Amino acid sequence: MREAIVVENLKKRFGKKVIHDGVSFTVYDGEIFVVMGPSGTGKSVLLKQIAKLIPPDEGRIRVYEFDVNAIKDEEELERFRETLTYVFQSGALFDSYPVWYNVAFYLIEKKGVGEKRAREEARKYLAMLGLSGTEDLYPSELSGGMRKRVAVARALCMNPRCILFDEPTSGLDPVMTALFDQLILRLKQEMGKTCVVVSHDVNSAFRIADRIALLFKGKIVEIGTPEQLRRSENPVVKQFINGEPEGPITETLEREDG
Amino acid sequence: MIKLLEGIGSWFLGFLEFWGRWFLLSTKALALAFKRPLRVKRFIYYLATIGADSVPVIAVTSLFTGGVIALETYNAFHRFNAEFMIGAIVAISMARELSPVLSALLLTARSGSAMAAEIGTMRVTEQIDALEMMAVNPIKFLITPRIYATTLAMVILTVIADIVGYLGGYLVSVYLFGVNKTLYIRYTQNFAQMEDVFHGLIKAAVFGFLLSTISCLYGYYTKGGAKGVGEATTKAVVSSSIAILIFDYLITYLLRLFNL
Repeated sequence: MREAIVVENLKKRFGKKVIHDGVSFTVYDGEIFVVMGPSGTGKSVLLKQIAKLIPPDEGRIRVYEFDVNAIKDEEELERFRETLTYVFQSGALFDSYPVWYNVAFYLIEKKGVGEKRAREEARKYLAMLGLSGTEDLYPSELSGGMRKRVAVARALCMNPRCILFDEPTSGLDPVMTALFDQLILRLKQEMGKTCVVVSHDVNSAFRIADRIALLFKGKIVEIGTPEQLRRSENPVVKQFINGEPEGPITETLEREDG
Repeated sequence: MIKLLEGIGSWFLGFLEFWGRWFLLSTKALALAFKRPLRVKRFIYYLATIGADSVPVIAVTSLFTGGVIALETYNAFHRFNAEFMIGAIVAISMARELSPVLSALLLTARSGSAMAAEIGTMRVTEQIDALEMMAVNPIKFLITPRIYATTLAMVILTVIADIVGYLGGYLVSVYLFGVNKTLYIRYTQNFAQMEDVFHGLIKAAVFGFLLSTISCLYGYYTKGGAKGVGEATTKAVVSSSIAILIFDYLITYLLRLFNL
């Protein structure tokens, strides 16, 4: 299997707070890799470092042929952006533009595609995600679930090989969550995209993941297929998956608070 | 004692950090204007929203300011039977001082706050990160057109304020106090010069640059949620206003060295 993302010994701290203390893992081409972990373990920070939005303190990140932190010139950065893109937790749509312009933003602003053709392209992706007819609405007029799907359409419009999802199902109802899981599976099966999903929704993670990594206290505690994780004897994994109120995760939290 | 020194020290460090960041951001924003794509459309859009939309506010303010100068100075000049000098006073004080400063303060309140709030909201809702993910430079996209538009708009708005302010003084003097029209205009011509106008326009351009860069800076480095946006907006307006008044003195001092 081809490697898509390789993270080696990643370290990051904000002030005195250590976020990552030597995180390493590999994501293979065409798989859905889910990163789970309790709130505040730096899952989003991890994605942002992979996406070159935050520089790591130490360690190396490779995404396909790119050495992420060694990207220097603008042209290489642009190719990197076309390889890997990011779907933000709340969508991060540009609220001063209508939906179709949000989706077509990259084509118009960066590729110089004419507005008419770009709009056509945006319509195609919106229809694919079940959002026909929303082209002229503004992001503030959409529901949370719709906004997230528009964000996915915007990501697809760049035609990347790899998409990072930051908590795609947080704040969605169970039906919407199931639909979103299906959408991510379709991206993999029909379009061959590599997906890295950050989530703390165990059910959703087990539905979509090829492999799951559990992030806790700045380190990866365990990596494996959903089956392997379910059979794991690691107390942290057990507590997280079964959602138990008592265990090593709570103890750490109490120690940090006290 | 040590606490006091520590306080002064950290304030001074903060001060240096602020102007360091300001310098980096504004030079970057200025230089990025010449990189393709030029995005002339965005510049024109901001010229309309920052400049043209401010015309009514600026016009009303300067009409009354010109009027009040005439009102205040009439008594003094009346004693010497020199009421017609009011025209020169209104023209010179508007052109050199009041038009640029008042327009800049109004524009800070109206557009500076909007810049800080809008860019700040984009920061906390990750829209600036989203721009970066699409390989669009957020400084060039958000800040560059605002700085150029505000600087140019300030110059044009100051010209408008000069004219309307003079008109305000004229209306009060001629129609309220019955000052002789011809003398009023003739004495303006004798005393007020184009240099006075240019002096004010140089100030206006600097103020426009200052208020837009400071407001965008606070917006760009916003942290936290809604509270952060609120703080950024307040700081942007306060710092821009203080900077405008301090630089007003400094520029006047400098320009006097060149007899302008």
